Amino acid sequence: MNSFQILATILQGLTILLVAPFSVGLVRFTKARLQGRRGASPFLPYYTILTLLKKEMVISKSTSWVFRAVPFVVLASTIALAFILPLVFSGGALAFASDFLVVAAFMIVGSIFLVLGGLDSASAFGGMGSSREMTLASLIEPTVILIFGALAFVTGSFQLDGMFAQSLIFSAPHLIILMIAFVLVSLAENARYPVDNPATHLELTMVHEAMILEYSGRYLALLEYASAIKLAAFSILIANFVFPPVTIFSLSVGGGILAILLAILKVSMVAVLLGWLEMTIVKMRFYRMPEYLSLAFFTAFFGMMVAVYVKLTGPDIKYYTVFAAMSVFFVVLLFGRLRLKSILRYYAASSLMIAGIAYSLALMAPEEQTHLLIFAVVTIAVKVLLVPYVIKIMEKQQRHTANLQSFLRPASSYLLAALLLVFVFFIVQKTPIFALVEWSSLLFASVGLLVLGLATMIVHRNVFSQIIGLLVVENGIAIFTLVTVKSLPLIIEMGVFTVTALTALILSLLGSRIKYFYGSVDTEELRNLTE
Amino acid sequence: MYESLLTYFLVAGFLGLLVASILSLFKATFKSAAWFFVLANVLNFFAGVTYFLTATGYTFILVRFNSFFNFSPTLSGLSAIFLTVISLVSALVGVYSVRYLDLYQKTYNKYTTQFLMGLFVFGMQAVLLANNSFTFLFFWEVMSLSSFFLVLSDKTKESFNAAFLYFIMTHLGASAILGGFLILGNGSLFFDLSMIQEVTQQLTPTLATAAFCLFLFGFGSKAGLVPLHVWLPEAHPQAPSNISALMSGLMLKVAIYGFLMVVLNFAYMPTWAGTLVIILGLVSGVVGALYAAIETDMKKAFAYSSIENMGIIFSVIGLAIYITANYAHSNLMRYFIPLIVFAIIHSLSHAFFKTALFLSSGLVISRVHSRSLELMGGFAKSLPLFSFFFLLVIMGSLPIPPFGTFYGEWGLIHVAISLMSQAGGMLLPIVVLILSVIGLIGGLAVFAMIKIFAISMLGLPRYREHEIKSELGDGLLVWPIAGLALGVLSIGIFANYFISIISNVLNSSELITENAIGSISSMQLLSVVLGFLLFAYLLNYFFALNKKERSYHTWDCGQPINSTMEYTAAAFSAPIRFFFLNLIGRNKLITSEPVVVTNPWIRNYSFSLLISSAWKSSVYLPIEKFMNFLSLRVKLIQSGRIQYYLLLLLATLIVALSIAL
Amino acid sequence: MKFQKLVNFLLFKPSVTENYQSFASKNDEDVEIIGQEIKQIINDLYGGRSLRIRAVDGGSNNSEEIELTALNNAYYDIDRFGLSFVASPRHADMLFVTGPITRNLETAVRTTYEAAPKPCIVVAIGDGAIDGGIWQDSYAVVGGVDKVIPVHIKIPGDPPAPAAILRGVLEALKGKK
Repeated sequence: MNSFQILATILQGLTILLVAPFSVGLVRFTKARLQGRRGASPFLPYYTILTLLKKEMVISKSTSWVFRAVPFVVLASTIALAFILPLVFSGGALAFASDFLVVAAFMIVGSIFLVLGGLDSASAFGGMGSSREMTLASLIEPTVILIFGALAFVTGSFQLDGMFAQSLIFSAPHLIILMIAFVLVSLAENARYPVDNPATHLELTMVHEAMILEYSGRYLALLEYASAIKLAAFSILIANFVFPPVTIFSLSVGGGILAILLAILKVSMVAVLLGWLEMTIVKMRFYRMPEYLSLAFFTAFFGMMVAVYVKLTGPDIKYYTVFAAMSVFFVVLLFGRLRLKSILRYYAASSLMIAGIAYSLALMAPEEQTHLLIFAVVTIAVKVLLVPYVIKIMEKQQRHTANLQSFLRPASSYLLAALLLVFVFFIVQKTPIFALVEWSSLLFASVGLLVLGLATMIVHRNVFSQIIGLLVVENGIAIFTLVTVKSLPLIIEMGVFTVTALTALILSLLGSRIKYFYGSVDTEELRNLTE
Repeated sequence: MYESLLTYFLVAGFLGLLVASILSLFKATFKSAAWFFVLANVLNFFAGVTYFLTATGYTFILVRFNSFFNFSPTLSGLSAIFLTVISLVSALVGVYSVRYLDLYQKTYNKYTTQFLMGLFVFGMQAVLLANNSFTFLFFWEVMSLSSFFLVLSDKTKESFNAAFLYFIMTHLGASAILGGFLILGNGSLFFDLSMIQEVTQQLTPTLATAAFCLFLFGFGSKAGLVPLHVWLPEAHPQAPSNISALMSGLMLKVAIYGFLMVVLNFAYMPTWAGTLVIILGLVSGVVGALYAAIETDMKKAFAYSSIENMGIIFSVIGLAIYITANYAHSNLMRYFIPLIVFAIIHSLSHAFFKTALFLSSGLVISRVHSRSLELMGGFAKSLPLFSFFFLLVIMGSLPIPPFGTFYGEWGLIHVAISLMSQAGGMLLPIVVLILSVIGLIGGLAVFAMIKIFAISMLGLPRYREHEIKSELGDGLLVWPIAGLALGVLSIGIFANYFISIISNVLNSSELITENAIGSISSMQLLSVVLGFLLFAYLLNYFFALNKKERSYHTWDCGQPINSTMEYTAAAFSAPIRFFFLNLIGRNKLITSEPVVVTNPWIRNYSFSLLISSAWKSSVYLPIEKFMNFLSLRVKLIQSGRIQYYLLLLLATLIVALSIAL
Repeated sequence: MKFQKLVNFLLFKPSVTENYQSFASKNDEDVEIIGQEIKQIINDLYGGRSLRIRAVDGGSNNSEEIELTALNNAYYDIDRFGLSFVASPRHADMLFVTGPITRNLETAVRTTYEAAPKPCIVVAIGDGAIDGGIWQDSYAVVGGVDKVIPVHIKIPGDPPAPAAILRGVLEALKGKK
């Protein structure tokens, strides 16, 4: 550890500490602008903290020493993140402490002490916030371990410092799944939408705010500052997935300044994106959190499986593998959804990824190029646009099917999907066809889609979701044809597409008729018709 | 020089334990016997330390009694580790008991309790010295029976039920261990424990597998592995708190010791053994942590948390077994010893913090006179010093640096990921499974522990008749807890030294921590933690522009609030109950009846929430039914006529003779 | 795409928020600012650049509350002045008290004031809060807010329009009156 490293670490820490309130202010500013308001200046949080420092403290009579210890521990845990993580520079003096389990532990210590502070005031609001925060913090833990476990596995370094030494996304594009999982984790950790509403006044909907209701004056300043630092640190860390921090070896004074400017740019960028995200989504009900948490967990799990797969097959990762992984991923999302609109959206996204596979195969095989390109274009036309549109039109005639019935709750659906995929993963590896096929990742994807499509038809008890399950099965077969018989006559393929479109049309028409005659599309209720 | 010193310490310590327990039966010598018990344990602790000062890794034989069942007390590296910790923790529990038994003179007979405690601790430590299967099982029984009577101490109906369950389970386990030793010793009861390796090399795979399964069942049931765990959350909380501490903190470690002894020396293990142990461990971890999170009985929650920690330890050992069973001659074997070391590190931390947690629960319960968390609260104000140490212990029980528990899970996850990048095939799904479940276990454990601390210590007392007594008179209760907190902290701070000492003792030739899994300097980590705390404090110190403070009641929205409006333990864990509804047998009941018969609208509502153990109803009750059915059939033999029994006797004799001849 | 339309609208067309000047110039109400204490407070708190408000209902008929809610909307946008409503008096620098203080809510108003850390500005909003308004002689009513806690700013009206509330508070902050 030389003096240069120490200097870099101190510089990074101070940068984060100074820029932190700005990141919170910028999120609010962006949000206000997108709502058509003028909004407060992004520098307002500095004044808020200074104002709080000038006020006296009112301390509840029911509190003990724990209440007073809380702000310091919470602040210390977030400051530690600001100094330890590879944010502005990597390879700093404290890089040895950026082991991912240590970082996870620092994060959870902050949560623990906030919880203690919330309960020490003996108010029901504080207790409620504490209970919720503790639930979230403890159930997000497996996802954190999986994400960083997978990153450690890919990069071979247990320290975040080593993980973020290179651009993860550019060197291994499939890690984008892990990045999505990390964004989900960050939203939960920082108490943002859809987990918590940072601007709410309603105690019953609060998570983070409810715990600090009893704090005032400078303790409140410390706590708000701590959450600002956490937001800034996580923002930069998310950006670092794409643009890595500057390594301090081989660094000049100008480079250092540039690195700091880059960090500020990253914070601003992520803050603006966060403001935009918060504008477009709503807060989830707290009791829908199992869905969110299992989604985050599944995303991380899926990311890890893809990383393992890539490691098994070889170091050179192709774009069609990423597309194949994403097409399966979207179908899994579809699997847990109950609303027709989102099911159709994920179906379209999955089909788009299949078009992407065809496109990337076309780049690799010049002799098949036109053929594959036509395939891609027709896929987009039929499966991404036409089929969802047709089903939507048909469904629109019968209004009350917005929420479709399913045998499983979302959380268990994701679990089932994960189990099915793991099963497929190891079954396909054992089959003799694995060695024959050139592009094994596509084989996985096609069998995965087949199984998931079938499972959708089994688990969902609604005619419309079952139609989409059928279409997913068809997608799986489409990938299979891409892998095995590349040069299928064009006329047959076009026939398949026509059949697909017609299937969607006829089945949804039938479904719509059924709804019209019997008042329900729930297969459980339709079963009664036979008796 | 060291060897003679070691002999003196051991002889004095063990004789002292026996003498102390006998002296405690008499009124005149009771007080001194209690302190003598502490002294004897300290002597045994010195013995353990002396062992480490000598050249480590050898087997120290105290003396050979050829006449007395071939008993020659033997101290090997593994048993020395456990002896040191068990005697140190017992000494602290001894100090605690002096005051604790005084407080509970009316409930417990303090003479017999102290006597049985002495025997219990003697049994635990003597098991570690056993050199053959007979002495091992003899002291194992001393330990089991004395703890069985200790569970009965308060002579209530619940105690009888719990103790009965404990009695059955522990004897099923003991007979399984006996069976295992009989297989190894080829029918001989005096099987020399140092021969395990040689014997298993010659056994047929079927017999070795059978022996392994019997040992797993025996030690697993003592350690409370799911599905053999039902007795643990019943028996541990029912004993007096100092005994619960010994049972949960130390007796489970003896089970771990026994299992490690088998694992380290078994030459042949079936390929699926590792997977089985890992899955048992992970299931125990999840079940233990989940029930600990939703339990509202303080001691029961701690007992469930013991199951969780045992689960973690067994999954670490399971991974080690997997490696030896499948990759015995590859370079993956270099992860074997590290895994065992981390299992031991985790057991040692567990010995410290779980003992401290049960001792703390004893102090709290002595004020509330109930084990229910719903009646506690507000102790951080009346017992500030105690609550500080309690918080330290609670944090020590979680995977948080700089506490010892952190390094156990740290090691497991690091080894798992290193294995992942070096091995393919069937190891991958197991590692992925471990990684995805271990985080869940850790998270739920955090929830459970923080719930217990926050509900019992913070806020206002939920029950008005608390004894608001300061902790000044109870120094003997508080300081042992402080000592144990320091213990789990120092395991964390000196983790690197402990890891290297233990791996040296286990005859590991390589420096494992550096090479195989990367390293982390625990001391540096501590300084980082302290440094940032100081930094936060200074930030507040320099930037506080207004230092005025005013005291006022909690914000109440204009209407006065009282302690009945606080969040309760059941409410705090409601989200977890809801999220894991499928795994928990929950029975919610709302009943209402009208206050006046003529008016149906004004009603009295009562709400009850019952959490039943899913294991009990789906695993144990069918077994019980089956056994009942079987015993009814067997009962047909019981005709009640004496000639008939004599006939049976004759038949048995004939059958036995025909087999023998 | 909807989002693109939105961005276009935000970047190239005037936003929903009305300019402060458009309603600040009219001076038909007389906002009363009491005492020199408030100047001191505002100076202490960095000129009131960031103040947080806790609204307390002292027995109003909710007409004032509707106007206060309107302050948060895109047209008035109280955020741009650094003012925001918060959920706890512990966080508040400013109390908005509405309605004639009824006997039932007298304690609530007083405890809220006590619970808020000093320095804290108290604003009485509406005629009821200033002197009891049309309820002033009722047996169920204590009277104006100043009978219970010290008041710094009084904004008349029954109820005062959001613009009037904003004007009153901002003028007090600037110390113009």
